[in-house]
Amino acid sequence: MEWTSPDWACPNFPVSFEGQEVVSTETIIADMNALLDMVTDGDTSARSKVLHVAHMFVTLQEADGHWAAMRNLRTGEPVGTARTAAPIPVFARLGEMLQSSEFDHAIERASTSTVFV
Amino acid sequence: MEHEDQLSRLKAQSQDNPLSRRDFMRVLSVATTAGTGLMTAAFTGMNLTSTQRAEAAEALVDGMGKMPKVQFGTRLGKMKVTPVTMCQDWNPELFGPALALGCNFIHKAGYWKGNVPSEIAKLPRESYYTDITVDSTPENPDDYDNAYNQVISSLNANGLKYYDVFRAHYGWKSVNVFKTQTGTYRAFQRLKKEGKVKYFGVSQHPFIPYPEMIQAEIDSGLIDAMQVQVTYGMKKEDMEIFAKASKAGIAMTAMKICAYGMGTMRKDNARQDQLKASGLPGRALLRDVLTAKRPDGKPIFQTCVTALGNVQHFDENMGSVATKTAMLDGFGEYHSLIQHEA
Repeated sequence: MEWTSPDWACPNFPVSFEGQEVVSTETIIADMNALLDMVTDGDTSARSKVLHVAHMFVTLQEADGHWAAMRNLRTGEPVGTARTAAPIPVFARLGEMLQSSEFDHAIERASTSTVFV
Repeated sequence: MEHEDQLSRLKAQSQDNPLSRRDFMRVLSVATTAGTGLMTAAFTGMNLTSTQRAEAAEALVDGMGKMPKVQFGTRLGKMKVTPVTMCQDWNPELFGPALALGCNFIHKAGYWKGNVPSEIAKLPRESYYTDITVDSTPENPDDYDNAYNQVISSLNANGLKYYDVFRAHYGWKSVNVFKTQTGTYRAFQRLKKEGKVKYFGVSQHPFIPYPEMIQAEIDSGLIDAMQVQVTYGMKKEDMEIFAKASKAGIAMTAMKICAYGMGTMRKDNARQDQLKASGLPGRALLRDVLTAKRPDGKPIFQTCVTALGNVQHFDENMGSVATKTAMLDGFGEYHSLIQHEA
């Protein structure tokens, strides 16, 4: 797993190879889940990386409650028109792990969406 | 060499079975003799039980010394905070050690539901400070009801009685929206009258260039506390506007220091050496930020927030300004800059 540059619009996002720009949201979410699988009681540092990406996904949630299915991580711009709700389960997982309300509002926005994905 | 061989053997052994009490004490003895800087190296890779981790952290804290406390801007009454704050999403095993170092501010405490860590829940509420990051900004900055209800439902869930700082999270996307869509601020005003929050702040992400947004926030006079992204080697104009906000009395917190700066600092051995943190880029980053100065010579930032997931991170980050560790490192610059109480 490599990471996008801090200078990019989507900084410190997981990618398959250095310099990769266009990534599907589902792939990013799969990487986030793989990192969360590494968390232990003694070492939660993998979750810190996931939280950073999750925080960014909160700001990328759009008016319909969903996200672009593909995104250019360097520019931050969506690629294509396909939509996805892929971040929602990882928001819920983080909320459960941390017993936190941090992502409740983003989950609620997606749940009240009238767009089918 | 004998100690290294012994530690390697015990490290390998711990992967299969927890260390016996005798073996753990052996590791602790070697680590304690080595000094705090090498203590976490001794424990790195060691598979410890939670009790053993707690004991190792206690030994580490003993060697680090207390964190100093600094006046948090001029607008938050007599609030004094440690230069590194706790954060709700830390590894929960680190709250006890952080409190032992004197840490007294918890960022994002508002996200706790009924699960405030016991080490914190048992403290008198007035003995520590908290913020709640209110999520009406950036998408719905005018949403008075949601902003108000988030604070109320949070306090009902976690019993923290009040938050010291109501922090608009993630901040506003434009100066125009900040000035005209004021529902979030009006919710703060009502909550303040009700005794649920005390001061208004922001965790401002750079949706637009920082100088423009932060100048507007300074000019408004509304912001008592500001949290901003700080990157090692960031643009001069960004640091200048942060210095202006700090000079205006706004309590300044730096965030994302390690997330965004680690790659660059890791390669900057010269700067690590200057900051007496060779081989410890996280420590170097915090020292770099906490000693960044305003034109009047005072520090720009009073505190920073950093993600901590294990004891190694705890040592590297907190050791940046913990009194004994800084002294042992030969890093006196920060403590010379500040007036503090241990």
